[in-house]
Amino acid sequence: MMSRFDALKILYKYTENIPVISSCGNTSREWASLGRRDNHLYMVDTMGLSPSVAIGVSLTLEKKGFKKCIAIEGDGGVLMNPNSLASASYLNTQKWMLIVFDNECFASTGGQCSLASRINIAKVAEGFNLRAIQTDNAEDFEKAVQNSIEEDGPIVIHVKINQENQKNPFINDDPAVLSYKFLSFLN
Amino acid sequence: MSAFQDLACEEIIKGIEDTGADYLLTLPCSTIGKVIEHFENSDTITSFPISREEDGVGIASGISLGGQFPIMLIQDTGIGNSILAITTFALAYHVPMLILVTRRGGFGEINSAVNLFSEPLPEILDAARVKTFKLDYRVPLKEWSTAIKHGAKYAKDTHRPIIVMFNIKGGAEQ
Repeated sequence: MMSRFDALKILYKYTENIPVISSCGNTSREWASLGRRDNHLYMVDTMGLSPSVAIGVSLTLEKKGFKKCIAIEGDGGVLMNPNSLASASYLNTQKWMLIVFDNECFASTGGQCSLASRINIAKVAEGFNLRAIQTDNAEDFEKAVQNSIEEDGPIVIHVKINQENQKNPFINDDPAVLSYKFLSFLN
Repeated sequence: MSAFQDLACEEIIKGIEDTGADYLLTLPCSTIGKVIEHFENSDTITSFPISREEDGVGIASGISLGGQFPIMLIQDTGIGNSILAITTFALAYHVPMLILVTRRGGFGEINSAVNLFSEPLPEILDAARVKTFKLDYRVPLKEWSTAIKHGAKYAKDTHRPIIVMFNIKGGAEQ
């Protein structure tokens, strides 16, 4: 099973010109460590909100050249805000893509168990009438990313990962600066 | 529906239209059903329902970051579901949006629990430094649409979420 960092390295290759919104904690820190870009919006708090923000951004992309808006969220975050799955399904946001890194734990707070060990998040997404791809290895994940970016329609990529964390500095920027860079990229 | 509520709904509709907003996100309240119904059947603003206010703040934030302007129309109880997103995302990231909030609690309220959140809510918002403008029977109804329009502009000009809260039931100050 790959690590979150292995998966992020794959995603980084295919998203140079795609808005990406990353969840708080280790996900954003590892994502930023690969090289900061203005198309990245790093969430520093509000766990579980990145899929919702990506829905809003994707609504505004209909007349812009970007192929997708991608949210990266963990299993704990998705289970904290399953409402975003309902909204993505209801609105049928064509450019919305959610990547769920599922390590069955809250890695950023010390690895406490989440509920995901007994819940299949891909099936939850399918229950909301969303298309979902399940993967647990680098090769399948890379294919899923490449294909999903090119296809229309909301999609969830559910990735089982191990519980490894990279040590990276906190993202302690002024959030207004983080959003200004992202907004400038989008507009 | 009383005449006051009818007239208030008309003013709210006019205010929302005058903002030139692109999107209206709604969770229902019996007192402003007429407003939601109006925008469901209108081409002026894209309106859609949300299932929880926190998700709504996230979606509205994304719309705003994407260069368009959102309004969210919810009950005041929904602030309880979304205050973390309002403060640590919309406020912290300087994301403009207008949040229109109907008041629960107070005279005319028959629910025996909701008052426990709705009554202290203005103090909660003040403590959280979420700028809130309040409309009730003391503000002439013809000023409500102007307040909503200015609320939207103020959100854009000051780069943050602004709440305009209205007591549509009439009666005394809550």
